[in-house]
Amino acid sequence: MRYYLTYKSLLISLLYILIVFPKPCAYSIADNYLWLELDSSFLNNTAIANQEIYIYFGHFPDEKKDMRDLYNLNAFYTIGKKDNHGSEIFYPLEIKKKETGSKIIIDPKIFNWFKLIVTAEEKKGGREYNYCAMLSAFISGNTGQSFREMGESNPQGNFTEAFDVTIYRERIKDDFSVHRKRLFPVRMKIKFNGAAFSDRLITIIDRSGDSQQLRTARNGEFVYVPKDNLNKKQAPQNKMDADLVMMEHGLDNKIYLGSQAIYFTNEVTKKRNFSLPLGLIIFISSFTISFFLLYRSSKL
Amino acid sequence: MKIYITRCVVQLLVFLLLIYGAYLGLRFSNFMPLWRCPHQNSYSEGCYLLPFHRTQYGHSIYPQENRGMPFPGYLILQRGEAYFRFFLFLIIAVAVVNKVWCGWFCPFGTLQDFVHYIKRKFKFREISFSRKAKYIIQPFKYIFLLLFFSAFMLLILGGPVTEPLFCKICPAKAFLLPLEGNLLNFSIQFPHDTAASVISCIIAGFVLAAIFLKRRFFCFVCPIKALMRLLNVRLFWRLRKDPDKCNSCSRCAQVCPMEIQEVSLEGRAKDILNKDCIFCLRCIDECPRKGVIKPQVFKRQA
Repeated sequence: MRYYLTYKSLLISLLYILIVFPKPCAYSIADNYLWLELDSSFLNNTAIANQEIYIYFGHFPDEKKDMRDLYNLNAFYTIGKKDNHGSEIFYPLEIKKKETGSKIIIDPKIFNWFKLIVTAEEKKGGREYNYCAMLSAFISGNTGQSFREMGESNPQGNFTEAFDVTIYRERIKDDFSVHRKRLFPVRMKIKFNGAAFSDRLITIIDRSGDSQQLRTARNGEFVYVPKDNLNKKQAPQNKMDADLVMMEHGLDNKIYLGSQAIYFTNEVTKKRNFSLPLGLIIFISSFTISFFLLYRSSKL
Repeated sequence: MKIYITRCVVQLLVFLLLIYGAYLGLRFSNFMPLWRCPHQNSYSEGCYLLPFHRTQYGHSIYPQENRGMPFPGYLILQRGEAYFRFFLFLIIAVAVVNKVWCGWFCPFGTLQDFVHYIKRKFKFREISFSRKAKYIIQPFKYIFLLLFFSAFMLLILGGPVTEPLFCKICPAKAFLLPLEGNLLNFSIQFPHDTAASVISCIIAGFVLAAIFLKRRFFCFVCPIKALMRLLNVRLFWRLRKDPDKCNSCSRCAQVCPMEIQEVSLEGRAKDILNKDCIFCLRCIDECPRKGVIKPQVFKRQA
């Protein structure tokens, strides 16, 4: 009996559990969290955002829970405008409450990338949970309700302590599309409270619910390669799906849970064949013929 | 020389402001034709044509009103404001700023002037058009005007595609991307977009040849200039010549970037603002005698 209760045996048992059940032990985030999803028309259309964005609480992708216990639920967006000090200007957004999800309507009257941040708080088991959901997408808002800069606003609550995710926009070789694609790596950098979120585990959950963990580098960077969509054959090429990057940080009695939704298209770049030499031959031929014709025309 | 230097400074400032102003939060290309493209890596604002791009679902805050909207309703209700903004700019550019836009503000004109300056440094000899050649080239501006408006139609009718139809053959993309070291636009794409990529390469070759051969070549075929001609609006700007003071040295005609000969030939005191004039005022700057040619604003001497 004594033998079985030594530290050594406990360690072996723990290792056994970790090996046999790697997924639940390593990948799950037990607590609920907030995440953002674009309107379904975005997913089936041209990867240009409509104005409706949904906030969900629970576990991505399908476990959506009631969010009435959350307080200080605020939404802000930025379109890249900066103030005199070089920091981004955020605009507050109205949230329309629903039972299991909230809706945000955004119409910034521009055609650009926008970044949306939703923050909320919850007190549970003597702990304070701070949620932060982020989304960056392309939006076209040129008509409809006019853009009212509803007063530049400093995001309230614990926003300043929230996560800041930078998704680097690296062009895929031989590709024109501005949208991110599956199977191509995405480089991201995470900051928490302005400092690099270094050497931390990040959980990434895809649409099918599968998750994987990655570790951030010293400067908070990591590279994620999104898996191919298994339902690609059924889905149109320009259909988009989100993967969710989850990050967690504990500070005293507070727990910070952040999520960043990233949308990827199913568009297959590899199938397109690009011939640069042929293009250059046509370009140089066109240049030579035009040069000759224009030169000749000047002599008329 | 004073006017020349002032104009260079204004051109440079306006060029930087219009093209790179987005980095300061000034987004001009949402309503005026500027060289910005979402395909650029350093992209910071949208192409002015993109708001015209048709998508299956509209961008009203009431999506239920947009879905399945027929074509005319879509144009008026969903894109009405984008059209209004753009055509308001066109009216201001054509009616108020008029030729001053061409000579002092137009970023593409400024770029051609910069190229001309570099060519002059390397003693590259430019071609000059004969009267007959000019006569042949002139109508092309109306064809380009037609194409200019067709671009909207290509975007509107392009359907809900990831990349608008016009973007595939856009001549601006041909030059903006190589400036960043991206030669992808010079590739022929198989199996899709083969025709579009061939047309794009042909257009790019023509544009490059034209810029190298002739200063302000594109001002001869500019669709905005065609619009100015069609509307025949000259509300504020005049160029008066005093033939009594002129010694007929023809210096004004020699330095004119648009090769307007009439400026030296005119013998009567009158408004000599030619249809092709870009109001660069080089003729005034280079004239050996003072007060021969005078610009007028609101019919008053400037």
